[in-house]
Amino acid sequence: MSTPEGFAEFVHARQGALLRTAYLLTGHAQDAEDLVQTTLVKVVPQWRRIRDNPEAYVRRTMVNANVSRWRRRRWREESTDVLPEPLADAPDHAELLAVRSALAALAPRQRAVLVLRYYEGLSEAEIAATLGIAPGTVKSQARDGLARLRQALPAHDGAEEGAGSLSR
Amino acid sequence: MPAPPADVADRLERLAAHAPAGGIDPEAVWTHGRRRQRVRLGAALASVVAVGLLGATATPSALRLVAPPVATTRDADPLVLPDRVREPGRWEPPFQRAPGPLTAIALSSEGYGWSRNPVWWGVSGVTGESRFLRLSDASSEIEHRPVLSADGTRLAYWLTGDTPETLPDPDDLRDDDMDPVVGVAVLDLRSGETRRWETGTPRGLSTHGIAWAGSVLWWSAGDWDDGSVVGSGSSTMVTRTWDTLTDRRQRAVRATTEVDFYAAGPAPDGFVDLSGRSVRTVTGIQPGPRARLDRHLREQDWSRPAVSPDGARIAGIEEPDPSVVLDGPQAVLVGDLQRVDRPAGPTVLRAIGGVEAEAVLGWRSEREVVVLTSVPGRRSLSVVDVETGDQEHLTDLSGAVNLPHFAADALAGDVVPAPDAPFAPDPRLVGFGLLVAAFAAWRVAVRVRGRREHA
Repeated sequence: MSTPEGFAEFVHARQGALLRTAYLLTGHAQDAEDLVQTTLVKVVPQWRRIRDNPEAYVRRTMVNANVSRWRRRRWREESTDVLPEPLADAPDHAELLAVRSALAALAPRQRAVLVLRYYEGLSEAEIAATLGIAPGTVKSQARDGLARLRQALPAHDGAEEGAGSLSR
Repeated sequence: MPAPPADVADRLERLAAHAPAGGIDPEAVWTHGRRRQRVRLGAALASVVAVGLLGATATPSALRLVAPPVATTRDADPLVLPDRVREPGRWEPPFQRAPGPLTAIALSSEGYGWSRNPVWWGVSGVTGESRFLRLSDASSEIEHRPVLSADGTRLAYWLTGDTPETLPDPDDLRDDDMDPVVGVAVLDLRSGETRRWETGTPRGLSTHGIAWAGSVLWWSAGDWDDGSVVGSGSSTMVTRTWDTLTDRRQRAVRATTEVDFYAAGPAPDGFVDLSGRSVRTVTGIQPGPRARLDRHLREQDWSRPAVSPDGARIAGIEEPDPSVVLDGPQAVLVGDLQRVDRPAGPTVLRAIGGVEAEAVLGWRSEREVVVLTSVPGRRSLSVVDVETGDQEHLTDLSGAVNLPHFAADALAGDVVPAPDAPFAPDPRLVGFGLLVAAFAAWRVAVRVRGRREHA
């Protein structure tokens, strides 16, 4: 069966954004590609229903797939020989590694809250609908997640002070 | 919650910039997705079918495990007669190894469980409930009906088994599930012990009859001759006796080889040997003197003349034309056997008022005979007072397509309410129900999940 109208266009148009979100969720380039592939494969059976507005469904599927993937991995014996994936040369290399490590230390759902809130720019209500949790839970998870990031990350020069700031 | 702080969003933005570039092939993803959808659909349907099959196959075993065993009884307890003799449903649990004394036995009208072959079922002489019997080596042909001893504690049946040779089967009549008859067996219904008597027949036995005379089992059968084929053949009958108390087994002496117990009806401590208008009773291993009746009595497997408990009377169904097999109702006749030895002539049989019946099954007391009557849709056992002709309903035969054989003493037993049939649903329906339920649950789960993800 050939690809239906709209699917290929959606993939071409949104795969970059999906990969970036997936990268923040997984912290690993290969895992991000796998997660996007898995998400799109899972979306296929529902495409005809969601093709008019696929964004929210795809995002929710990706977050849930990442949680499932994390749960599966917890039950597997992981090799201790796996080296952290290097980042491309960048002046802020150390800082970004710290951000990635800090994100990786969060539970996947809490990580998703932070990514959807501060990277995707979704509202609490949209995040709550995406994750299937209460808005109050979104708020508390975001607050707690930020606090844990504060502990793990160095202060950012010139950053604003505020409830969500990483600066001390 | 305040707006995203600039440094958080900025750091996430800069980290996201290190994400891998695109390169996902939509065609490949779509193909993969469709294949995954088909696999998951197939797995879901297979699971639904598996649930149905599991339910269907496990139900009979589960019911068998939870079915309460039928109570046995002390030797002295009289047999009871349920007010409704019911053929068990094919999925109902069978008796345990030792079912206790039985009131009656019959061949099922259909198979048992998953088997299409009919099997024997019995009526408990203690509770009156009906259950299948586990007689794996018994012939299940209708003409090979097992016979209960008078007190219902022993069951004699035709034993099947392997033979050195096999009868040719030119007309393809052989039932592959049925081995030839090789002898007889006696099952002690109280202990579950089975004793067997095999003759060593080369090609199987042609059977003639089997009857209890007190503790002695009489049986008559002969080896199929060399030229016999399935469905047609000849044999030389041999009559044997087996005293089950002493385990003495012997071929009947010449004087007793003429015993005809194809239509052996009950008699005190024995059976009635009727041949034409000649009648005698057989007790132990000894046939009594012959007497002559003034009329023919019905002489069929389902209706045999019966002698009263005191040995004084004989009752049977009138057979106006013995050359024609009739199964409709005819007059119930009774005669006084104490007049048999009169040199003056044969025993005179007289009609009991205008009472008609299809069969005489035995005696309930010294003046009450038990007969089978039918109206469309209902068959019953009734008691007829041979002196007054009064008739009284005794019990119904419900769903019993094949007429049961009753232990002689059971016909004199107390009538008790028939126990309800145990819960034994058709596992095919259970499986189908589970299949439908699993399918519905799966669809609901898919729909709920879809709605939740789509919200």
